Amino acid sequence: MTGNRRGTTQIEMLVIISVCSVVMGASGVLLHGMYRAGKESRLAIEAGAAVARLSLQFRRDAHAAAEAELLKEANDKAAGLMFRGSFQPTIEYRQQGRAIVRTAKQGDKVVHLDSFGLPAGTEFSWTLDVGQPSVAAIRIARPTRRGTNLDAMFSQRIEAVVSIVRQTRGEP
Amino acid sequence: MTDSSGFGRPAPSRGGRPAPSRARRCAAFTVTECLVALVLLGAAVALMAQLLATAGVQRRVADQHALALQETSNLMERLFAVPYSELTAERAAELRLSESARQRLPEPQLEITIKPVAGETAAKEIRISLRWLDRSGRHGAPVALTAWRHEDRRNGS
Repeated sequence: MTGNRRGTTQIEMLVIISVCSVVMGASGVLLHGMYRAGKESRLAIEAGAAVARLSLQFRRDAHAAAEAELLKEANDKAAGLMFRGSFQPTIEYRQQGRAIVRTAKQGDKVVHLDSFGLPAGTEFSWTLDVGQPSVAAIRIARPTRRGTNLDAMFSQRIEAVVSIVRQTRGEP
Repeated sequence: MTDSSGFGRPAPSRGGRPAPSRARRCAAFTVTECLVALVLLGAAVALMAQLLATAGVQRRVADQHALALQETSNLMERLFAVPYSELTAERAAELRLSESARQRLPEPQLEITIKPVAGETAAKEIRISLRWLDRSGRHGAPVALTAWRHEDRRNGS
């Protein structure tokens, strides 16, 4: 009887241990998922704030500028945008690592520097549709979830009309 | 912990006469307790996993909102670029959503209304509203942007 009971206890122990390990495995996966979700939402919030700030500043600069110019790299790839006005510093938007840097220059002297940090892996592209009026745009695509192609990139395009202030005021 | 309860409890019962059945029940009960606790823990883990999934969905909804907001701002930019006299509902109807917005927002409905506003200087109220199919399968509350554009100053002062 004693032997019988001991055997039962061992099986029971095995059952408990296996169930325990299953639960522990599940909670391990869960903890990892929670950590990742927390990190991702923190990054998303930071990116959202940076993009909101950037779009406000970018539009303001574009509206106030007299003309815009696409900054090119050596291989003719667009690397940034420049806004020029007659009575204000020249504004340059460029990518530096995983951030967009706004530089205000008076002649060759840097008057102001501002950086909009975005999550690692973010891709930027710059466009300028020349026309009446010109439309400058930054496209920002950031990866949403690692490993899955389910929703590969979250892309946003910030468009801004160049020299809208001058146009509506009827300046040459 | 489970070890001591599994082997430790039945030991004193070996001496007493009415004890064995009770001891066995007691030992079995401990295992049941353990299982119940584990099942409860499993249920809690499942619940947390569900919560995690909900958080992911919420983040996607927030992304959609940000995209819709950016989209309405871009459309407003375009409407501010056209000359004041050409700012009509027909002109606004030509505007289309961007590719990424059409991909991200299921069944988007874009509505742009332009109506004149009475006042000292002529003005037009531009309202852009964008709604899309949400998770419940309905078109939820729209993201709306309203702006007032006044007649170009070169005609006036």
